[in-house]
Amino acid sequence: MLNGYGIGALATANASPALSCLAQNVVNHLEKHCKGQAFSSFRIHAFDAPVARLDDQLDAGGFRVPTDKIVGMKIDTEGYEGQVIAGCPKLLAMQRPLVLCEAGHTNASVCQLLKAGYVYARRENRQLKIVLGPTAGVNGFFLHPDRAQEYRRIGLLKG
Amino acid sequence: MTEKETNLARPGVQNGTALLMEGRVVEGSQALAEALALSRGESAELWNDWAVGQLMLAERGFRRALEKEPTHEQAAANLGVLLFSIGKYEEATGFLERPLVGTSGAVRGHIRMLLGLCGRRGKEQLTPVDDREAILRQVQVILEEYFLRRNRSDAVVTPAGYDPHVEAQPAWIEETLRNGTIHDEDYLVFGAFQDPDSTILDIGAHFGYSAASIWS
Repeated sequence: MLNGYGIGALATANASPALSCLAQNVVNHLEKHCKGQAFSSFRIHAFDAPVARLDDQLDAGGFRVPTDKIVGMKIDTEGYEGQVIAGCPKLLAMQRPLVLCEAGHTNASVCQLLKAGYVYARRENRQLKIVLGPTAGVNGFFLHPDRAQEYRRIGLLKG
Repeated sequence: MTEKETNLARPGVQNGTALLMEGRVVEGSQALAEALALSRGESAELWNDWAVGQLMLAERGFRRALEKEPTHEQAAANLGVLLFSIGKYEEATGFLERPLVGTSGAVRGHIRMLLGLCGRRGKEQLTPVDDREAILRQVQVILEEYFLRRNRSDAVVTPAGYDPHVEAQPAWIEETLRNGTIHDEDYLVFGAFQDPDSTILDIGAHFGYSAASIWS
């Protein structure tokens, strides 16, 4: 809680997070999203978050959006991106969405996507380009080659 | 008000004030109300004392409301304002923070202002946003207290029963969309998916900035 606001996006599920990074993120947030405010208070709010496998959630239904045409996934789970991927093999095999993981290409836990047939990609402006090896960015893009033709048709994929 | 009336009312005032000081708020308020009646309502001092008694009654009422329903935002806001008004800035902060996320407009602005003033009047804690290093140190200290020293005091964690409603705030997303704010340009590639029947899953972030960036 920063100045009384919940800054949920800065939540961590890690019991031993990198504190200097977390502190930097908090101050970045203050500068970017609390313009004109002074710093008055910062508190930790602990809470229990229910955890479920994504495939199970999709099977159970109840989403307010259609889930039969999932074209993209952005995963930013504070270091637990690999667990999300491990929980949705059915989705990845059946729908093969474009995946953006905040953990990046160098995080071994997310590279299990490669075993599911995915390949690395990097962003060039608003497009993606397939690359042979991991990139060093904060975010890592993974796409499934079966979707390449479609991505080229909609202008998403270069080359 | 005559001297006789003042003398008649004085014991009631003293009694009422003493009862309030003992924490017997209901009896104290009643005694002050009776003294006020004896003075025929013409004493500013008595009106003031009576009103102070009402404040104490109100504080008790708000605390009782929060005992019964800790997430009652209006009671928390009212108690925070009341505590602020009597100079209990540190305690007021805890109550004022509770309703902040759930309110909007002028009320929200007022609460934010009071929170800022609480910091300034309480312990001179208000730090200008451009003093990045000072803020970093304060945040780092709290993080270390929590994660390394297991400190769970009020100086480190939110009050018990506090429900901050951390889901994305529609007003914030609307503002982001209006301003065309892009949090991370990597998200822009998702804009290629224009089929209205398709879905993009946003897993993990619940602040709303990624969705707002995609559609900005």
